[in-house]
Amino acid sequence: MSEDHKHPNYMLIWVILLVLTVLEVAVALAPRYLGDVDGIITITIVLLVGMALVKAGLVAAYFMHLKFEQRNFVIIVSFPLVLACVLVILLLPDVAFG
Amino acid sequence: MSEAAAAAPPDIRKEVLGVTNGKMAMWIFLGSDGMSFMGLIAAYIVLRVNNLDIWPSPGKYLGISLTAFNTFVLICSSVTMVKAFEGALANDVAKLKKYLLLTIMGGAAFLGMQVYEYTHFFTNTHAAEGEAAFRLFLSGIWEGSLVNGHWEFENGGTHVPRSTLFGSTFFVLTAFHGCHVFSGVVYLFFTYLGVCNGRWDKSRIEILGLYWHFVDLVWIVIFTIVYLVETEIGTG
Repeated sequence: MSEDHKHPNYMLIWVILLVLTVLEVAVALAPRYLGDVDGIITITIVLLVGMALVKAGLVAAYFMHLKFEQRNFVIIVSFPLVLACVLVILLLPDVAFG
Repeated sequence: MSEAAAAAPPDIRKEVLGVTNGKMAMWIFLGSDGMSFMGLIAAYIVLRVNNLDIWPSPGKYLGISLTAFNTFVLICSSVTMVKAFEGALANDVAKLKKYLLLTIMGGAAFLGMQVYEYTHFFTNTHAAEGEAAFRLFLSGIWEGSLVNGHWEFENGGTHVPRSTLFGSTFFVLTAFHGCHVFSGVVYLFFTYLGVCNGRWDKSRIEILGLYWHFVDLVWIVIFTIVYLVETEIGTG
């Protein structure tokens, strides 16, 4: 068990998650106010997915203690994530030729 | 298990890769569960990208502010869960109980708001008389207006189903996640009962926490792709 590690600052992680959530909503609403700027849809999607991944990473690393586990264990439990990415990539032809 | 037993060192025969077998089992479950979610999310992406021309703006039909608040509640309940685990590590039963209860309340509040959201979509009770409004069903969005207490739709009084995929993908993804939250609340509740009766150990609280944080993590992804990502410049 991971009792020997120093406790991460959970409140700090909480604040970061909340700030990211507020930023996400702001980014999602941005196109409505900025109007038809070139490529704004792509930019917002990249920003939103990026922020979601950062939030998910923070939850996994600190709340689920992955940061404090043995490396082999982290590799084993991260493998489904790789499979999930492979799934999405394999489905890309469906998107391109659908 | 008594508090003395809870403080006992872990049995080395019950561990692999530095984690207890129970924790390994929960991680394996979370891996497979994550792949289930990923299957649904991948299907959502494919269906949406292939139907961009008829896909409505989520911001127009879904309650972003309510759901953002719901996300906030779920993140807070994740924090109370790690606080509960802190209490468990310190053998502080009062702290453990307090934060477990707060986590249960957070999960229940999330579910309550989801039920409110669904009810609103089915009945749209906030539509003012004569005002254009919508209902969201599995078969899509039905736009119409409320006249004399009943719904009138365009197209000569019949319903106008639009973008049938929008409703079904929305409800399948959010309800599948909602079922996970519900299971989590039940799991939390019985663990809480166990703590009240003195039957608990740190490892079980940690495993419970893993499940709860996973549910939070999945919601972060679903909230982003279902509610926030806009594929057209909305006006709503």
